[in-house]
Amino acid sequence: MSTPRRINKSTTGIYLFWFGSDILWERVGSWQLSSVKSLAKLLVEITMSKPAEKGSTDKKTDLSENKLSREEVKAQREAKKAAKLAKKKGKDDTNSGEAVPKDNKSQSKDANKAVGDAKAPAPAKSNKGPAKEPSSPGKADAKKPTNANEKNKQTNQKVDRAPQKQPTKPAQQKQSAKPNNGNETSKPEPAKTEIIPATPRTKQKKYKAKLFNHLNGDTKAHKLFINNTAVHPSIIRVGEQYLNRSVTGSNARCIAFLYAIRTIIQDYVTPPNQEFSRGLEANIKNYVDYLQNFRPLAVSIINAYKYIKYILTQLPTNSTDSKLKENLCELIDAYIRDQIDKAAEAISSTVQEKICNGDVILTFGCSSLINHILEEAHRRNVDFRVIIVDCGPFLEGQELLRRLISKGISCTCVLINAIGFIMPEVTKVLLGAHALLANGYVMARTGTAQIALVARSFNVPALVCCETHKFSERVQTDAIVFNELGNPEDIVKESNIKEKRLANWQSFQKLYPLNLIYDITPPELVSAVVTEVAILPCTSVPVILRIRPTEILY
Amino acid sequence: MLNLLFQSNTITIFEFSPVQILQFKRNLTFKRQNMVEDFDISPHNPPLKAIAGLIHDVKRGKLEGSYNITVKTLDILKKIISVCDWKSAEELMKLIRTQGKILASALPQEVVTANITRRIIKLIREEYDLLQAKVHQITDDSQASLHKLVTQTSDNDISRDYSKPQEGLREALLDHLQEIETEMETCSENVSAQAEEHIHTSEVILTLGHSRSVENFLKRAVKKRENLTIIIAECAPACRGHHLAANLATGSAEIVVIPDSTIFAMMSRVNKVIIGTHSVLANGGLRAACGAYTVALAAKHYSVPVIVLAPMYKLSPVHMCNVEQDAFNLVECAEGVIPYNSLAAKFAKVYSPIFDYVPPELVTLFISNMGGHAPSYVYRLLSELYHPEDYEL
Repeated sequence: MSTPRRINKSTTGIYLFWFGSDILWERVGSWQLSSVKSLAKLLVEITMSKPAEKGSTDKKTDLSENKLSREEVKAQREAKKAAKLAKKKGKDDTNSGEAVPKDNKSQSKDANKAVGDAKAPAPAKSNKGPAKEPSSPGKADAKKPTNANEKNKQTNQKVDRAPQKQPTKPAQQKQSAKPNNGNETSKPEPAKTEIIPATPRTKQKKYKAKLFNHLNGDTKAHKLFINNTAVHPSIIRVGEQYLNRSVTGSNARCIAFLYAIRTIIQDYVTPPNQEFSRGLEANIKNYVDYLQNFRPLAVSIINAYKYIKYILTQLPTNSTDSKLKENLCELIDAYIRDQIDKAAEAISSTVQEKICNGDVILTFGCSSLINHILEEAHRRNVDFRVIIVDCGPFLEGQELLRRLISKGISCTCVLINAIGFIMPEVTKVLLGAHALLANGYVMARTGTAQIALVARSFNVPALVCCETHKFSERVQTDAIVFNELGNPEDIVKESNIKEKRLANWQSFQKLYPLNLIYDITPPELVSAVVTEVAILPCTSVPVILRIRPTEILY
Repeated sequence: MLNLLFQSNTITIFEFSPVQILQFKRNLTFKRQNMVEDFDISPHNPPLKAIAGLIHDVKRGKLEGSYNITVKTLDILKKIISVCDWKSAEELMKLIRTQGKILASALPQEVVTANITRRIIKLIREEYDLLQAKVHQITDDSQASLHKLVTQTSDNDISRDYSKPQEGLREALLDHLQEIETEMETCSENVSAQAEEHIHTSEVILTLGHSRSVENFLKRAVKKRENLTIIIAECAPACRGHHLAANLATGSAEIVVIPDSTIFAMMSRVNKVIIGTHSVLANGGLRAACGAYTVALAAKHYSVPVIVLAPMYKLSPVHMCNVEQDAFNLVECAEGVIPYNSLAAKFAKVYSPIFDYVPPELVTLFISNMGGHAPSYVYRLLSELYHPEDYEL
């Protein structure tokens, strides 16, 4: 509660000018008694500005301009500092808060008159004016009017917007600065394109259920779609593929990542006075950090990255760059071949022993490994059929269904809540996994735990298939501590709903569609884990983790 | 007294060729015509027009929700009592029984119709006995007791003679029916009035889909208790949970809408599961919305109490005969699972069942308009509600 109140105070000045007193009254209603003093102060100010209403805003701006012309440019520079101070100070904030928009006005008078008409698109264009100017406050100010100008937007959104205002300013600068490193002169250009598409989205009320405040959804990612020349294009492409979910599944994501890293290595030019491996490692680290903004890294990617870091430290120092690059690329190819492709084949051949004639195999979602296993079993002319359990919002099961149907395997498809209906006829459950945690818990697409639970209640064995490159050192006992949040819109906009009652869920005060990507299956629900090494109980994961460094060399 | 009503195999499999769908539709209409004709064949017991209309409305989806169906059935049966020409209690019972049977066989999934019929037959018995007792000064032993249930074979075999005409039976019945009607009207209110007894401050509640009684119950809870978090599983493919979410979102509680796949992940944080049900079986098991089994199982896994809101008219003296559920489920149009126009739909079998069976051991408590009951107590409630001879209509 404390944060919004604080920001309210600091920004009330702005609201005073831009909205009639009625809006302020609403805001007042939401306040707590502790801020009564500042309230009284505000009311005095309202009565000063009240009689004029909308039309008066222009006059007001003129007045403020006059003031500012006296103060001159100094105030502009100090405005930024004042804005920062605004957080710390209490009542004085109202004044400093006012100062910020005033600065804008002095910078672009015409733009602010357009603002007076309360047209949303106008300010967006007007921002270009100050943004082009190289002066440093220009950028920070450019955002302020966009916030203030949105009279059309609901006041509720305003309240929630307010807290974001000040944090986002430095954050955005950081975001654009971090990957840049080089700090090109063309920086304002991408910044401009950034703001315009981003504003409508960030304006939306972001209500999040209390339980999930610590998890970040894909909120900032869309700001990164820029021609950021400091980041290698292959990484940007991979990032975009992650974001729009054209590449999903931990294996596919890992392979895409490794290919991107390979191109980076090939394109890498060692700067003078730098060692090849050191420079490259620092470079790749930047890229990986950047990639993390699109989607949290999969465990498989983290492991692959660890491997790359390891092989970079093992490089010989006395050979040429081109030879080293060749060496590295070979090692990466070997990783893909051994850890992903060969492992899949090994697992497949192990599972084949378990699939026999007359089997009814249930699987969930779309796992590349399970697909491989089932196709292999079909090739061996085993007479079996497959039940694919699907679930919203991604409906990945349809993809697996399409692939298996095209191979001529007989398939049945149900949604996940019909699992109790279909389970009696199932003889085996095969599940894919996102990662295996060191305490034996299986991290996989949400719903996997439910399948294992129902399978256990019907005494059907549930096998989890997972390559060892997805094994993680992390331990976790529930799905909420560490997870990934998908876009809540996906749940609301499922295609098969007739009446979309929640289409505008943002208009509800405390409603949140939760799109959790992974869940955690406790080991007691899993009969065994099939890895390329052996069929193991879940609890043997730490054993594999312990022997891995000597065996696979990282 | 075990009555295996669900033996008729009502399952239908939808496979996805448009031709087959057409065929199915044709079959359906054909069946309906057939059904009406079937009743015509027996000249003694034709379905009344009102009954036929009710069946038609339910099949067409014009009349939905077990409450509405029950109220409508009750209304029709009341009219039968008041309008139809009958001389003795036996005649009336036969008349109502026949109509009830027609309803039950035409709408095997809507057990509430059979339930209300049973209830009314029991009422007729009671009223008749009462009037007879008044006339002949017989001590009233109509009240069933556990002792009587156990010793039933010996002294209860002497079935009463209902064939004698009885003065004032019609008026007494109509009076009593009024009571049942008011009970129906207040029943949802009575259930939701118990919300405070079960929900405390800052509780995290999980529910599934959309049930009328759950909605009222939760609305009441939101009003009375602060800081509630209500997690709603959407119940695909119809996603009726979204309706519930939209209706509850105006309150002060925090609403989290989750897809059905997230039930297990969220269950670890849930204090109570509150669900509605389609009907309660004689053993205390549920026939509830699809997905209820997963919810109950996950709740069991995390030792979360499962509270089922079941007004008395949903209690039915029917046992499930088939563990595999085939006989008691219904499969609806599977368009929601896979769109018809996709290639895979041509080759795959797709099911979209409506109900789930939840065994009584997964249920913690039933809340009816009469109060809270353990699942093991359902048999007793049944014996109070219906006469044992009417378990089979």
